[in-house]
Amino acid sequence: MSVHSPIEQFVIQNLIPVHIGGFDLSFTNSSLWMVIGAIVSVGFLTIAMRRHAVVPGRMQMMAEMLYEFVARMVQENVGKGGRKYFPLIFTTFVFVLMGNVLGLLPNSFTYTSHLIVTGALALFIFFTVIFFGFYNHGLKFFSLFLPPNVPWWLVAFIVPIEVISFFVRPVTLSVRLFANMMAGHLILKVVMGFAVSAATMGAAWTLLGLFPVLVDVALLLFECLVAVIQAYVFAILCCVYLKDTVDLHH
Amino acid sequence: MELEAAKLIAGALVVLPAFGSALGLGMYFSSYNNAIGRNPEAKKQLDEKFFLILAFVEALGIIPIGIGAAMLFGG
Repeated sequence: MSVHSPIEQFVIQNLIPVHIGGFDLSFTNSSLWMVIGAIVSVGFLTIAMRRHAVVPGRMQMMAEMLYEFVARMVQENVGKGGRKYFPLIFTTFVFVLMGNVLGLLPNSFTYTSHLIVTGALALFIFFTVIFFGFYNHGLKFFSLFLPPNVPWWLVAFIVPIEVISFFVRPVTLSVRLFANMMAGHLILKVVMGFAVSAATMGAAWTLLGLFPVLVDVALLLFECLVAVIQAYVFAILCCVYLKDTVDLHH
Repeated sequence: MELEAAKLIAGALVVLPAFGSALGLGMYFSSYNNAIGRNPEAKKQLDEKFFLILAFVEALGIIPIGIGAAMLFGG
């Protein structure tokens, strides 16, 4: 019986190898699941809004709830000027949510469990913040690193700390999502590995092997919670970071 | 001590911070319940930020596990 190492679920397989100019742009299982996530989210929203009646049906209610949830989040955290960031936040939230939730299906692939994906998302948000920060506020954007009414002798300490905390944002943003998704799925496989190895050791042990399965059920429920919450936290932190481009400290 | 043994020990040691996160979660939930116990009307305000902070404390516990796993099973 091939020993199924827990890390095997994160291995990227090239489904359609495409090599262009020395670059390996092949269509991998990660991009396959990204396409599936896109199809599922776009499909759900179009089907739900097909008969957009004033009195919403069940499907339309679900789509509206998703929309209002993100709209309220953007409204609360980015304020008036945040209206123009709503599409960005909504897309990021649905993309990460699809990645996390679809990743819970058996032998599917969680594309958010790779640092490269979460890193790309976080860096994209980070450069958006920098671009719009300078676009809206010009050089005054640097006042971000000097919060108001700080005593003069503290300035020498506050500014470096603020600069560091500004640049650590994409790192924490991406590592949090990456570690949660990878470690969560890893623990699921490791615990199930105990049940499998118990089962191979004879009948009496198989009964004992039932216990890790129950633990695994509880872990999977916890993973469902973590999947949705991490998508929510990722989106809300993007809102918080975009808030600086709208109003600086006031 | 071979590299393999050192890597296994490192993989185990790196998960120690999860202890802090577990402690943090326990204190967080107890203060949440105390706050609701003292003032049930505040539940709505508390719930707004509840999941956000839960994710932060949880993330600090999972990140070391993620790094430990990456070291143990990774390269």
